[in-house]
Amino acid sequence: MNKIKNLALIDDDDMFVFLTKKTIEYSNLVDVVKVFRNGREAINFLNENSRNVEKLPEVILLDLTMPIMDGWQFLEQYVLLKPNIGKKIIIYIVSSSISPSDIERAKHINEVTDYIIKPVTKEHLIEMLKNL
Amino acid sequence: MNNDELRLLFFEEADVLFQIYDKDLNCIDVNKATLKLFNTERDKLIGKNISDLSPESIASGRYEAYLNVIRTGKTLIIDEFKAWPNNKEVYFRIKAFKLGTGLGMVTKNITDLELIIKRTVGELEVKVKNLNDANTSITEMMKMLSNQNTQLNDFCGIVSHNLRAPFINLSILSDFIANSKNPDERELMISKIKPVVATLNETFNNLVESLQIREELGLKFERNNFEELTNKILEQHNIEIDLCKAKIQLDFTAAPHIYYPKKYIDSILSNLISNALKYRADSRSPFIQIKTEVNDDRICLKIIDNGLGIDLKTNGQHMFKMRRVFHDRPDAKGYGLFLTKTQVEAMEGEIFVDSTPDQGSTFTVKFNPKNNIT
Repeated sequence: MNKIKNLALIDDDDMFVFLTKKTIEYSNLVDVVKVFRNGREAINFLNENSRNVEKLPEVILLDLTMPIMDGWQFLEQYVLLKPNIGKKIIIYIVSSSISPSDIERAKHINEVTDYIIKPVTKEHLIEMLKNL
Repeated sequence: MNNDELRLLFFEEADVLFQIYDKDLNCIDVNKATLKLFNTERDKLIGKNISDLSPESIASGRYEAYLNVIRTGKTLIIDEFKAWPNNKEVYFRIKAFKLGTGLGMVTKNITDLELIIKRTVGELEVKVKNLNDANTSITEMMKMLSNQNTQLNDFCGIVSHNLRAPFINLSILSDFIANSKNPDERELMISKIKPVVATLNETFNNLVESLQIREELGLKFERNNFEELTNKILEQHNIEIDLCKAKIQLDFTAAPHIYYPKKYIDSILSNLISNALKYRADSRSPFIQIKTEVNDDRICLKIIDNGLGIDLKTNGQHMFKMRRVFHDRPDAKGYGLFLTKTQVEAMEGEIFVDSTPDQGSTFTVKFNPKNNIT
């Protein structure tokens, strides 16, 4: 079976990051998980490595509520950055929010492939692989 | 009776005032209604000039206007002519037209009409006022409803996000524990439960507290001295203030006191002051101004710092939400401003923030006038 080589997890909830990493580990579907504690850290990384295809993630799991730069702000910045990035990146919003307004808002952003309501399961990861 | 006699009788008996003047405005004839109004005899009027009968007609220009009617043949209408025959205020409508070589004048008493109009206008004014009052209360009610709606939305947000998040973590943990075959890993997972429960507990308690603030009855309002309260709070931060060499300036001269539940005003001050200290900029020593102002009869509490500040363009709408933090600090939990706002709004006040990143923030609490000390 195919594997996701690089997956980026952008989330400030340490516990959720720990548990999601475990889920990913058990699933054996991902090689490397990189964690960013807020949107700013992730944008900086993408900016610095925009030509470094090996380091860029294929999949980003993006939380919405974070300090410094939240998920929505990250998406705004990402749209600006996208033309310079030498790799197709699939972005999933991963949020504990079941608020319809968040889900609706996410639908209107082209860069977002899907909205996953936490937790992230092995089934989600398999689905992501299909979308690669 | 022939037609001429009938016409004469009609002239005599009509309810309106008929007067006939010659080309020099000397009175030729009047009818009964005229005599009745002036309470006089016919021979006292006949032959008299208008300027004698109504001396003010010259000063008011009417005399000249009557002569002009005779000269030009153009009819003159004077509306709402006010006079005081027999010391009673009466409104007239006068129509003066050329009659032969002289002047015919029909004068109608429109006092009743005036009264009706005045009464109607008065009634309309009352109705407009009532409508305006109703409009004001509808606007207030809409404002209240919109506030409640916002609070409800915030509450939904807290339940659907802040409470859900730790529950999700707990459910994944319990799955892992149930499925794990490795005892060390099980131990690790079990040890992770405690902090999640602590978060859940904290969020839950804050939520309950915020609901209680909104529902709290029998709150004791008292006269609070801003300076005393502030000094007590500053004492609690003594070590921190010394350590970062913070300069703190107090000025409560504009409004030294407020009528408020002590625990709320204490909590509001305490939260805003500890934030101003906590989010200081490391590159400069903190300078914090704490003062009161009075604007439009409302006491305003201002806490001005020169700290980290915050980008309101991107974070403004989340400033006072639960578990929203804007700086990567381990001690930032996102309950303080949420509860402060709840406490301010429960007392029908407002709180807002002005801030520039890396320059500082100004928090303003605008209290309700009912909290003024009179």
